[in-house]
Amino acid sequence: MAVADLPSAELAVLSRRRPRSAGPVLAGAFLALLAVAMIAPELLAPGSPDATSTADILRPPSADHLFGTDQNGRDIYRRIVYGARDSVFVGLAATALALVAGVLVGAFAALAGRAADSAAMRLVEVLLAVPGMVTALLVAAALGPGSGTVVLAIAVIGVPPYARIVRGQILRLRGSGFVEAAVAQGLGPVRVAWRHMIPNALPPVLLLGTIGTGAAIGASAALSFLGLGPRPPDPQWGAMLQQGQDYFAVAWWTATVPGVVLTLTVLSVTTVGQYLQRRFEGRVPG
Amino acid sequence: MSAVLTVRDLTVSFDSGRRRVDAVRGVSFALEAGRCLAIVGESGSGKSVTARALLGLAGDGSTVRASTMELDGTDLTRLRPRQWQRLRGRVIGLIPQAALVALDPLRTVGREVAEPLRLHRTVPASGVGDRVIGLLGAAGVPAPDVRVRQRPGELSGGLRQRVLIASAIACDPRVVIADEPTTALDVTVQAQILELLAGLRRTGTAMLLISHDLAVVARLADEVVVMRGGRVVERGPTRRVLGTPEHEYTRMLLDAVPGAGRPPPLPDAAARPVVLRAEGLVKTYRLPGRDGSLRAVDDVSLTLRAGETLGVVGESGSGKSTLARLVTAMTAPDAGRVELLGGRWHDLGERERRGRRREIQTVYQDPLSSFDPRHTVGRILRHALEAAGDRSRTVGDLLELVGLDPELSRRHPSRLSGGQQQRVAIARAVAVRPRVVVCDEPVSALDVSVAAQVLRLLTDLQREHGLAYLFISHHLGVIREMSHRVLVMKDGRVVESGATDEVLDAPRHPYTASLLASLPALPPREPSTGGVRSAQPLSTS
Repeated sequence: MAVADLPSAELAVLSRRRPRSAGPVLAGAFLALLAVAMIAPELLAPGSPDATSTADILRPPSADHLFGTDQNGRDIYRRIVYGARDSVFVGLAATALALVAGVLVGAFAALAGRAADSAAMRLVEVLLAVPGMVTALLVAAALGPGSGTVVLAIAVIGVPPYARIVRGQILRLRGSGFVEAAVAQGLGPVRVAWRHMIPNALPPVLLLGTIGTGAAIGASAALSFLGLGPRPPDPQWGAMLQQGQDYFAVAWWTATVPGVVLTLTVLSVTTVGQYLQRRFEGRVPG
Repeated sequence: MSAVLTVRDLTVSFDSGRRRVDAVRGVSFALEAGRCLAIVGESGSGKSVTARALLGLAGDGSTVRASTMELDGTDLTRLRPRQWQRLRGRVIGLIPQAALVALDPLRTVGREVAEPLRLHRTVPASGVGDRVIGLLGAAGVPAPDVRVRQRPGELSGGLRQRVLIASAIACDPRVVIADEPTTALDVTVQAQILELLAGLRRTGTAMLLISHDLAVVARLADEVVVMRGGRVVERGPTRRVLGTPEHEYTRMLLDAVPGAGRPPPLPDAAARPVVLRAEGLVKTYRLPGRDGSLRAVDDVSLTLRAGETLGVVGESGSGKSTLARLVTAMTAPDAGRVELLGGRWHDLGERERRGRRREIQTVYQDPLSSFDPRHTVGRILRHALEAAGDRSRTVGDLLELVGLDPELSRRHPSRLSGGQQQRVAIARAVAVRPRVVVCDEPVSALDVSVAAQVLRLLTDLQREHGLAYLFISHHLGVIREMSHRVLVMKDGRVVESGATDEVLDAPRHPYTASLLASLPALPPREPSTGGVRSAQPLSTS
């Protein structure tokens, strides 16, 4: 039935009952744009992101420079587009890595017996006890600067929450009716875990992952600022944000633009993540 | 006498976006002070929605219409939310269903009961404390001055229901709506609560009873309205409606009340092989936070032969479910032994036992929680067939075996009705060709007519496949209908056992006798309208 066919009263009811929010669509569009920027930045922003121009230092946003220019006269729009790869990809890769490792550690701790549980969980607690950034710095210092280092360092500090959630979920699921039913049919522990426990333990972890991606992008920015990420002048949002702070009083756009883009990215990842979770949840609530 | 509550042509519809559902279609009734009117029906009949509409709580997206809806002189059809708030709790009270979840776990009982008093200021603030203790006492809560400081977690189900009743009557409402007030309570507790509600009526309160349980209705109501699909199909004085029902749906409801049927006879029972034997089973659980421990199962022995049904009856906490977990080797006994098909069972290593687990299966009370929420019906049954290594049957065959449309295999169990879910659970259990099936309250969550069908299915499957059932239920009617022999359990012990009819017709143990005496009974049916009902019909609580 077309919307126009409905009397206005019913239409009001419809729109109140089923809010068709534009959020996921906008977020998805933004992420698609980011994907293009990561794969083929030249399509969105022709020219080199590192080209300086002494005549155009700290220009405000204009038709020539959409987001203005920085202290070296570089076009901020171009640097944002080219910076997407390092900034976003690093966050995604680190989160994915942390998630997989966390699920494995958590499932192992919950299922492999008491000794394995203590060992795995003490390790996780040690990681939690030391501030994440310190651990990341140690890992990064040991491995030397570069994008790979940043991914690994952030993944390591991301593992504990995932591992603990998965462990808790699996312990909870172990007492559930459907796991018992599977055991009653003669299924072995590995198949029960693989078929019933891990898939059902995942939803909260995936949700946390979408939030964690944002944090990971932020952390990668911090590591880059400390010189452990890609080497300057390669563009990176975090580094841009940090540098922009120095000029914020005279040129607000230098820090604002990377900050807003970073925020939008985190927001979009979270929104799309939540949307996907609702969409693919096995049991519909209610 | 004039009515305190008059409803004429009540219609409640829900807009769920794409379609409109009429949950209640043109219901009328009147209720006088001191009288009790029961609305009876199965799930989806609209009985609860009717009750909610009278409280102005029909829910989101609902439209309530009526030509008359009048409570104690107030026109309910044009009330604003604030005016509703002034009525609720003061003029019309609700005794909600599910006493176990209807109380806030963090608030003391006293605060719960005091809330309507403070809200409506029917007594001065200084008198609230005394009034609360008085109300709890009136609701039959022992030692109310102590209980008033306790939280719901410290109370039994029966006491919680009494607290809810005290809260509902705190402001002396003209009308009390009791929505399945005894569902989920043990029969002996149910009998006490029904007594309390009957006393409440004598004080002049009008009661609207919502129930699926005809025996409870027979105990309390003066008049009955039978609803189906949102419409009233029959109404009249309780005795007449339940004694000489005119509508076929009412007759069907009465016929479905379990207790009249008997299991098919078991020829040469003694010659049949013993498939399950338990001797001297003991299981003790440590109580959390205290030094004490609980003997959930205490020296229980049983034998079960092929094709036989052994009933286990008892109230909550009697150890029935722990017994089920012991014989299925989901938990290890502290003492005693279990043999399955004449071989070792409880003391096998898990690796060895895994290969034999298929021989004993369980059908649970809540089938939904026994299904992986991410799996479809087809996937659940396919896994069962894989577990049995059975290539001769398909998912469709299994669904047909339990009387379901093979089309359902693509659905998630959460999208099925309760009866369909239980059929899927039964299909999964028989898919692995077990010899013993433990049925743990398999029909307790189902409507009577659906329960009757599921019981029939279990009986058919038993005959065709020679299954042995260990049939656990709190419901004596269901036990009578299904079991050849019965064990009566109390506090972990078997207090009485024997052939079902002997135990239930001539109980030797006082506990069995008190269980039987606690059951509300239906009035006798006229022989011309239904079959001869030899047994005392029982409630499904």
